[in-house]
Amino acid sequence: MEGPNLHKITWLEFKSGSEKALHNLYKQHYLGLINYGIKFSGNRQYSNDCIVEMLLGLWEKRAKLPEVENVRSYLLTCLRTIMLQHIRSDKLRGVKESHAHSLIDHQELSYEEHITKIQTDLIIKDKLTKSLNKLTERQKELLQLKFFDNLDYDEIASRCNISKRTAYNIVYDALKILKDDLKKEGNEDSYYLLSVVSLLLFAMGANIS
Amino acid sequence: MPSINREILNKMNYSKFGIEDFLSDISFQEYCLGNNEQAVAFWTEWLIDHPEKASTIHSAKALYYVLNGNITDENFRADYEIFQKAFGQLSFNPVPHLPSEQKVIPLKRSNVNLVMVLTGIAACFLIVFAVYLFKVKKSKESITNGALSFSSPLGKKKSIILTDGTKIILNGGSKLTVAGNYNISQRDVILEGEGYFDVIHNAQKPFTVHTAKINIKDIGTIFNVKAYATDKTTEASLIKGAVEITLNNKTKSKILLNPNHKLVLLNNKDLNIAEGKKTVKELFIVRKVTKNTDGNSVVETDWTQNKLTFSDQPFDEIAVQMERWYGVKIDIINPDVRAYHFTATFDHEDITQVLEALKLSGNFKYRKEDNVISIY
Repeated sequence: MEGPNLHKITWLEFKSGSEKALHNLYKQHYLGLINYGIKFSGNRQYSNDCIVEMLLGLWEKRAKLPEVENVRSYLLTCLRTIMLQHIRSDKLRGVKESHAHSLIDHQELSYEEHITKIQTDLIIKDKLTKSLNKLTERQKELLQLKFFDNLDYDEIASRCNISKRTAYNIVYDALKILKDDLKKEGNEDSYYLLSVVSLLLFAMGANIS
Repeated sequence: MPSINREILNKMNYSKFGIEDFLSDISFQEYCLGNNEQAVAFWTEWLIDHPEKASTIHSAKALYYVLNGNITDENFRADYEIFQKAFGQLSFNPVPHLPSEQKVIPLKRSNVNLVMVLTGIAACFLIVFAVYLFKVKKSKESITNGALSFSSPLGKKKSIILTDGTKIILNGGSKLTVAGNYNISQRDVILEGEGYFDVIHNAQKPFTVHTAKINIKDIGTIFNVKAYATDKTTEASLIKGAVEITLNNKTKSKILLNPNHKLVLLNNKDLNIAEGKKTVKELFIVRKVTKNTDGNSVVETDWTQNKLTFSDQPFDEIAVQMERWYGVKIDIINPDVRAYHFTATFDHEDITQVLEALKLSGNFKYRKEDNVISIY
């Protein structure tokens, strides 16, 4: 069953009180929601707490919830509402530096800036920047929709007004470029050297004892 | 479980499959994230049948995490666990249903004295503010109030299990102070020296290690902290889970560490030099932890397995490490020796064996009298 339909059925089951559907709702939308939250707050842990709060809140009033066409955007809206409420109540309490604003500058970052910024390995960071520069805007957009927002090819196709096959091909070509650029590992040689020296010393140590 | 590639996968010659073929498949994406048990089961089994594709799959997974914003399957598992726990508490202890239509009592404008209302609001704010101030003050004091201290002498390690089940191993010459109010509303400890932490996660009671230079807030984790006052650097290495590190300097920068990464912060002496050069931002670096040659264990935590590891370190650092390990005093008389670099792992060897091994590749002599070793 394809994504959007699967999501709708999960939603209906959820509304009718299925605990399994509640868990599936979490699993199906986790990536899209957590990345949305991280872009908003800069903090994964906090974002997850908000997702949990949101889903359990919806569970409490499940019978009264509407039948929604696009479950994903419905949940995103709910998550946003909760995060805004937190900020507002923090402000009321006079809390200036709440975890919700700790890395707020993430909000202004584009997808490519975001995924580059969070790379801690400098070599990968560098390669990634260079490689992303080779991609077209369209390719980057689709990579974000596919891997960061976690839409499936059907949703991407209808959102971008292209066929599913075209969506798939654009993602595929972009991946090909990235993989070629990121594949060549630079530090393997030094690791190799390190292990040889270490082995040598080990052998010496063993000889003595 | 739908996917475009699946049908093709079952018919095609896998050996031709590249990273992009796997990665564009939806069920493969779910396998990487771990949010679909069927996908995980399918690909795990598939990998057993096609061991020759292991490195391709590995690279595909790595690229997937780059593209999805560094959300790993471990992240998902940890977050999902929190969700399950929260739901468990909810169903165990159901929240009473509020009446859906609450009665709203309208304020009659004519009866309300505006000054009274404003005074009331101001009073409320004052009380809230006073409580807030009190709490802030209290939390700072209470770390050391009624605190419990554990020390490990040079040459000895110490294992501690705290009331919440959190396990800590202290390396030689270290001290851990546990807050008097530990596990009541929060969990604070102060570390001087080196410690290995295996923390039981509890979102309601955050666990924080305070050191002179950095604070490490756990988010359900195993990590190692090295903060000897006499060392050039303070280091925090994350083995599993997630931690948030706050620098204790003016910037109060927050850094989220990923598993198998470490933060290395230059300590005071170098800090001044760096500030002089206006490179304040470069005071710390985040890099991968150093894997041992077996590929599994990590150099930073070898000491907990009774392994003494040097990883391309100069002799003066190694000497300090050996002093803590064996409880000896090492004098380096020949200054040239300080710069010699060594890489080695010792498993249960005594200090003479270690020195003999180092002597073989380094050009130095040593003399041992009681607990003092002279290098020349």
